[in-house]
Amino acid sequence: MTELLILAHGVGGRLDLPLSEWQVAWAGVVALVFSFAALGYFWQKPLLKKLSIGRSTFRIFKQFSLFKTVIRYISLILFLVVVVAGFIGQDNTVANLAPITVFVVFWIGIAFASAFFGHIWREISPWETLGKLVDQIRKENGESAPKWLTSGWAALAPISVFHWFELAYHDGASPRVLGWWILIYTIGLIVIAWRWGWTEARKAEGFGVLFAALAELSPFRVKETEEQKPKKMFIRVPFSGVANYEMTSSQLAVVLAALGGTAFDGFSRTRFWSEIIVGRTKWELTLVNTIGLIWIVAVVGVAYHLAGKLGSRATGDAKFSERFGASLIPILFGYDLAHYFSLLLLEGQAFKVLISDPFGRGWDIFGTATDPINWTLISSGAIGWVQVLSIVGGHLVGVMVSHDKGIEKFELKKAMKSQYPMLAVMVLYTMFGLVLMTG
Amino acid sequence: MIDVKNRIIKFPRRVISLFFISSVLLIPSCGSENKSSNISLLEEENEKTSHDHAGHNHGGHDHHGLEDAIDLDPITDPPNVSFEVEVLEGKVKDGFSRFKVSKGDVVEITVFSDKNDEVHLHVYDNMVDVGPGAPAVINVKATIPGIFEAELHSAGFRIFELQVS
Repeated sequence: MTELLILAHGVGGRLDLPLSEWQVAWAGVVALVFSFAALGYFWQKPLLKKLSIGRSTFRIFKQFSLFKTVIRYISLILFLVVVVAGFIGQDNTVANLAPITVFVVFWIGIAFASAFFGHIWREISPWETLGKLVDQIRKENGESAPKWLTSGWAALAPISVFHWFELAYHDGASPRVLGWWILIYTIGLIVIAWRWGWTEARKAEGFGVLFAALAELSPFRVKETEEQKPKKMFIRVPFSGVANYEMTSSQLAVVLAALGGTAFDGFSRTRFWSEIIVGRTKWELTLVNTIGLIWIVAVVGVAYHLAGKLGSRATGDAKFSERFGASLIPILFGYDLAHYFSLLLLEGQAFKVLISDPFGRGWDIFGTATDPINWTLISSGAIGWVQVLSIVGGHLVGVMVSHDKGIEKFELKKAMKSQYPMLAVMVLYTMFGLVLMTG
Repeated sequence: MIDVKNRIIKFPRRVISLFFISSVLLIPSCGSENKSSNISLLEEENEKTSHDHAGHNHGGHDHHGLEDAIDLDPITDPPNVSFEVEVLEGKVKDGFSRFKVSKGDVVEITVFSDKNDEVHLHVYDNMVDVGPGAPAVINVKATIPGIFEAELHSAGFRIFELQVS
């Protein structure tokens, strides 16, 4: 039980090398110059919404839905295997399938895949499958869902709890804990779906909400048409889709929570935090990390809240925070990529090893149970460049989205005014992100 | 319209130059401070090196599915870098350190502890017993770049990090 319980970020005992100072300094300069260029030199008519329509490429063939069904069932089976592995597999974080699947394949893999391929979680989510199943069985009772559900704020709970388990709770990566967690979450969703229907229950599935936000970055868009007609696939400029994303307050909170959690993950790996937690164990460690997590999430959230307030005052737009919230999505993706890209590539290899023997019974289903992990698959220099480019890239796209949203809503002068608080908060996030990368 | 444009363009130029200068000055200076202290730490650690070969390595392959997959060559070369860590009453003496080595170095880390425990260096996956009067000696050839955490197994806390770059 005490095995590997102090790992930040759930699994893995390898961290990326700190970035060199010149890389970080230049990244900071590029981000700043670009930010200020946005004020004077960027386009003056809204651009992204047009781009986000994209170019129609092909009709989605009928067999595609069969393909989706197959993937959905594979996903459901994997889900069941992971829960069972959590309960009956080896009670050891690195030897059990559950932690690697939850923290790497699901949390990071699906987030990245959503940003690249679009709304895939909606198609393959086991909760979606189960929820729709519940919809078929249950009798419509006509009861209207309570406000905490319809407002979407319930989505914040699973994201927060997940971060707490991942980054604060000292035993959060233990297979048994994860098994219980998934079980309770699933039962919770089913109960909600039973009572008010899956369409409402989906609003409490925080991961779906988060992945859907990230999916707006995807260069692929499926045009929703009537049921019978073949759907069309559109290809568009990557990241342009967020221009259409109208956020609610609760969706904004989910994105900010994810951003704050990722920031704390980086923060918890700095020497500063190492020195604070050294020698602390068990619940004392959990307490200190919980305080740290709440603190960093609060800093990230309050910074945005203040920017939103300032923006509201400058423009008279009461919905300022929500309107510009979409510009945080590329920043979140940049943070995610910088922090977790190597984890997915290196530690992620463990998935193929463990899936061959999911319950720790000495099986070798796919013949990969003894495959070695290639820890030098990608050089540390390349990892460093991906980190710098994703943080700065996320910032640049964020600035562009914010700029575009500004001129779309306001006349030019006011639009520029609206950008000062947004630029300030984005520069803050980026500089913070870069400083964390120096270790 | 033109008036507005001019104002917008003029203002940021000043700000750009200001931020340019401040960021170029600020960011690297924060960093370099950090670096020099690390180098001095490294040198310090090198000086107080002792080549005490008490204890020995054995891989902890009994229950680590993943670690079975990692084949480490037996280390035959003598260590060219060595560090010491001392754990007293649940605290790391002289604070938490990150030991920095270069890729290819043969590293020896000696861990002293006032309690019986096991030292575990992640990814390299050395598991070495430690106890009062019987320090753990971890020998690794630094082949994988990155930062690796080492912990006391039963106590359950980190005692140092090894940075291979």
